[in-house]
Amino acid sequence: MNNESLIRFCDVSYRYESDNETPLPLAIKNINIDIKKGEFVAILGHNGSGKSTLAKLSNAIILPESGNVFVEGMDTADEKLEYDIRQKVGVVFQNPDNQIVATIVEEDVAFGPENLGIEPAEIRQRVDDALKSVGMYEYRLHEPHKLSGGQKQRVAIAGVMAMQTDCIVLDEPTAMLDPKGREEVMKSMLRLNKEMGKTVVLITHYMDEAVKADRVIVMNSGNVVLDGTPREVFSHEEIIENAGLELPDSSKLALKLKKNGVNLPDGILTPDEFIEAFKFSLSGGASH
Amino acid sequence: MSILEIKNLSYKYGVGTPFEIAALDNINFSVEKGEMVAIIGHTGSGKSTLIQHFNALLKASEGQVLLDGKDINESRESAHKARFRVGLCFQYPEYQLFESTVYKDIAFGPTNMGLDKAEIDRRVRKAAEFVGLKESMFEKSPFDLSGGEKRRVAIAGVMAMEPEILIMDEPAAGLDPRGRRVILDLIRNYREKTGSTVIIVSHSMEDVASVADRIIVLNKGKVAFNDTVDAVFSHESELREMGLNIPQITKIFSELKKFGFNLSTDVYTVDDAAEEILRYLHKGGN
Amino acid sequence: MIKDITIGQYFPGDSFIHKLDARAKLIVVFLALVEIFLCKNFLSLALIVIFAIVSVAISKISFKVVFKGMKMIYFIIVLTSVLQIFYNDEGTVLLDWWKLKITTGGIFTAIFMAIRIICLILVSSLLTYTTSPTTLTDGISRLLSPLNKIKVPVDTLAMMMTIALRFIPTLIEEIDKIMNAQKARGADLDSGNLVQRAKALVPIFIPLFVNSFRRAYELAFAMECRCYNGNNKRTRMKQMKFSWRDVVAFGIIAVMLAGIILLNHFFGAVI
Repeated sequence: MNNESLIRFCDVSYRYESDNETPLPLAIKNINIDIKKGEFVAILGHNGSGKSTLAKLSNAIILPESGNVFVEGMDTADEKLEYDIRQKVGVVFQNPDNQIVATIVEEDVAFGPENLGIEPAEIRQRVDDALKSVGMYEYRLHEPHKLSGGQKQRVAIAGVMAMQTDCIVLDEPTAMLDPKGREEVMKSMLRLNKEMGKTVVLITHYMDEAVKADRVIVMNSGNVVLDGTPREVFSHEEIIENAGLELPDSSKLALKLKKNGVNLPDGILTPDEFIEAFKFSLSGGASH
Repeated sequence: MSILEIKNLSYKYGVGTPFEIAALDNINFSVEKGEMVAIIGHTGSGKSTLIQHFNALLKASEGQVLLDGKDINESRESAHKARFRVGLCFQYPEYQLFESTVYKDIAFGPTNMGLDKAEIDRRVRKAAEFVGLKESMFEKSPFDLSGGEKRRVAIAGVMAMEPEILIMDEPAAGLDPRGRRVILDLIRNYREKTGSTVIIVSHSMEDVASVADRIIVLNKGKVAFNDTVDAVFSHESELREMGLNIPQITKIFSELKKFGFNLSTDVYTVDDAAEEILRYLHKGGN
Repeated sequence: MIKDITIGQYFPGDSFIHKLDARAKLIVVFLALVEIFLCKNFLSLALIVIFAIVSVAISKISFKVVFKGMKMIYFIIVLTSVLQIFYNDEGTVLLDWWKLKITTGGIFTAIFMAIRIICLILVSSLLTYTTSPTTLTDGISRLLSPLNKIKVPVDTLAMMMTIALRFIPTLIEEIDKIMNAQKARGADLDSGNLVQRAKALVPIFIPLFVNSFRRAYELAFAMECRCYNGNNKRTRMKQMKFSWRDVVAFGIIAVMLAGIILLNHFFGAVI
């Protein structure tokens, strides 16, 4: 990870178009976020908090009402740069069925590079690499509609990887999946980030996914209300609950016990951390 | 007598083709009146296929579905009646809304039952109340509502048939934590107020742990477990192999027990868990 | 059941026929269909039958699958042949009862027609069995690419075709789901008169349309994200290159054409 900025939201506001006379309220209000190269950022928020709008703003699918979004210094409002921006930042959406274009897995993954006018031999190479990176290479000749939800979503991720973007933004990629599918997709995301150095922005409302990120941003009614490491962010129980979210059960339990005088450290996020801390506390290791 | 009894039920896809698959294989269980049962299994375990047998949408290749002791496929009429006695609310039900107003959409089921206007009106209002829809929304188009509201309209549409058994397939799928809680609370409330039998189908143990009396785990078309929540959760490694997870609290408690902490394991909510630990600490003479 | 139809399905493989260039395959199939119509006697028809059977064998698609796929069309085959029996009254009369007259000529024509239709279906379904829908669309669009010059948006049409093919199974599944959901609310879809039945479809079609629009909207976003804008100069991963195989295929079809013309000429027409 370095300090170079990849996506920068500067005083960004956005409003969806209304069907009638009265304009809708702002979906995004004067937001400032700086996503650095190589980071794994989770953006949390309840439905309608504006978090999905950020995904579309990040690669010029929609443009801010006011303020600017910069991708490696390129302003998304500059129409000439649209292509360059989308080659830097790719987006995967919630419903895997609605983002797969072709009838064969590998042909779908090839769709992006084909649009970019890349040489056939190079596309082949990219498609194979992309499919291998999400563990879907054996399925390259399958029909997408016969795959499981988790597999479809990994094909969608491969589709973005084949464009060799530096950053992949995933808009609730696991919301429609079962636990197994969620785990598969989560593994792929971590691999892209940790092993291949891609910047990953995961938009979600699952806390246990956010725990695995380097940085967590919490959105509430169009504003950023928290921004920090998972440990920092999850210590603010009240702000999290006000944002319509819930802490992981392990954190909630730890906080509750602390309030009742049990000696536990701050920032417990997972069951394993809880168990360790609890045993340590009872063994008298931390008694004052 | 059980209100619902499943006897030796098997269902095969593509019978007579080389692609024949047994989606359900010799399923047996029963549900008592007023019970809240959860059917759990990962995608493809057969749970959605199974529940479509309960109201005769699918007909079993072998075996029977007994409603109050009578085979629902006995006659065309009994099969049709089963649709109203067993209310089935599908996954993502908001994608099946079609009427011009919320009121009309909720009234669709009761109207199909051939009830009179006054009775339909009573049922629509009552169902709307259960799901927390205000009267001011009745004349709105269902397509103008938010995602969570649409889901509640769709659920009300099934509740308005006042079925003896209400089946909900993944009622909280795709919702955020607050949305999930609202939906689960309203199901619990519905059950308490009406005393109806409720079956929840889900792949999320967290969602069902706190509401269900009993869990039936389906794996590869077979019943893997059929027991109390507590007993089912004790099979952590088997559940994992089936692509299911157990709630964090359960994980913590079973782990602590392994280390010799004498804790009760039938707690699933954070509040109960905290209470149990505090009770243990006070008693434990720490 | 809709799901049982195998016509138009693609069976991946790497046979000689799978490996033919899509453009070549399209032209060869087209020529084969023309040749089927050119057959005038049983000898030339036999040539076609051999061609069809050998092609299926080479493609390594089991005959079971191929004939199962034709199940839906058996009715049409039988109907057309039966009509032929009564249509033709040449040759020896075999049966003459009331207004019905069956002759040897009629029987021959009926058999001829049946074989002809079966060959037609065999050859054309072999095209879809051995070519992925995307490749097929691709082949069509490349064959039609000269039309680009007269401002026909061939590439856009091909993309629309691909997307349609991609979403057909998704929509079938969706219709199934909506129908079950409405049936669960007591919707009666299988009884009543025509008007009642038409009315009963409203709860199916409105959600279907609403959902399809939502899908289309989301798909448009996803395609935009992957740099599609409808007028880019796209390249393709799968290059289309004519190979020796295509030359062989053209050779076979040309030899067959000559054979059929000769057989028709020397042995006379029965049809």
